[in-house]
Amino acid sequence: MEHERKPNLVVMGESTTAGGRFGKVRIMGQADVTGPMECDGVRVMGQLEARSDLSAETALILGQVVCRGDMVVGKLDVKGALTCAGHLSTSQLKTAGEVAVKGNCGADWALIRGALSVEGLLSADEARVVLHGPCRVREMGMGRLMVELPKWPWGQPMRKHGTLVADVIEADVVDLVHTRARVVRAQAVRLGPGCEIECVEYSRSYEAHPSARVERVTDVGAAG
Amino acid sequence: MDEELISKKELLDLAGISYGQLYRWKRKKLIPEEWFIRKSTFTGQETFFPRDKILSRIEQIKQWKDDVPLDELAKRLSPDGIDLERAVDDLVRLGIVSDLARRLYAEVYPRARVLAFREIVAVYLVHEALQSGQVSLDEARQLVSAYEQSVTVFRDMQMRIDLVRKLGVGIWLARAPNAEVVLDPQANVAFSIDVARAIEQLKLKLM
Repeated sequence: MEHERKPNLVVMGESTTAGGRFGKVRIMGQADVTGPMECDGVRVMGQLEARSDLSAETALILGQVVCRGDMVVGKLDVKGALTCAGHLSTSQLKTAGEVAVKGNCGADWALIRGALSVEGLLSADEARVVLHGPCRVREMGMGRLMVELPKWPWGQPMRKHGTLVADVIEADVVDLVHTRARVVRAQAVRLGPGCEIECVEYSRSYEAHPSARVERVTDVGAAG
Repeated sequence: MDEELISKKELLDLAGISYGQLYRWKRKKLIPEEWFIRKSTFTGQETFFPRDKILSRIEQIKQWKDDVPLDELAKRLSPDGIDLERAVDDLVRLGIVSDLARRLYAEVYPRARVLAFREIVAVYLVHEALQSGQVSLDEARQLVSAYEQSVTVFRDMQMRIDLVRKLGVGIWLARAPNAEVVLDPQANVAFSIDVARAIEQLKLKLM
């Protein structure tokens, strides 16, 4: 492949760009991208609105990003707010902010410590959800899913924690707390306090905290 | 659509894979989104798959996954075109297309020596048509131009090409893979090929 020099893009004030290929993109002010944009790295301290697809190898979002198309990012770190109207696919997703995805959200590895809403499928090989905020996902498909409460340095929690609400959770291994779901299907299921599950289907192991409310438990492994 | 469906749970049992693997392959686009068919059942919404397609795909993935990185495999399995050129003679030498298919293609495009992927697909379709034994030489030659026409409509290559014949006169018909067509009862479909699937096979041969 031929080598091309990609320009950098820095927006300090307010600017509109048609998109294209860039090296490093830094947004301190407000930027409006009207076409598809591809870049090596993007840092948003201000506001970025992408009207079309956005792809980057690394992205750090401290401000606000709205993407109306699909997003493909290698390493994504959100400390601000991200809204994606299409699908979001990453290899590494780390968020401590607010993420809202209309389509599917995929990651090889995900650490979610903020608010999250996914209207499609959230899929990852390994995901850790620390319930700092409300998480709402329609469908989860995972290798390993761990949901835990935030740990505060001095014993008692200072704030209210969030809950995870999902329709279907399917994974190899799940370890849940404060989760409300209709169906949980996994090989190994562990339910901690505050879980409300309508139907659990497991095939290898099942363990539940006394305060977990489960309507139906089926051992699928024994049947087939 | 009257394909046989398989539920997700059955699929996992039958193929011996886990949820994690299934979702990973979906995420890597090894399994197309369209194959995840949602249907409501008495236990709520469930996901189903086209049985034959998904089972053969999973076999393919299992066979290749240890040798080929998943991203590379996704490219080979997707029906999208790839950036690739081959000399016509090489295709014949590699046994991908027959010599007869090449000659027919050369009658339409006498000056074609090196083919882009899209053109390779054309020769491959001609080859497949001839292999079926249902298509005459003249009809196979017409397929080349019929294909050229139809790819401009079905840019994503998601199409099915049929040869409809009535009273010995054959015409080529390109349509979306699951689109309904009703034929004159005296006409019959002599040959039919799913182009997206043919491309998948072709890619595995080329790469």
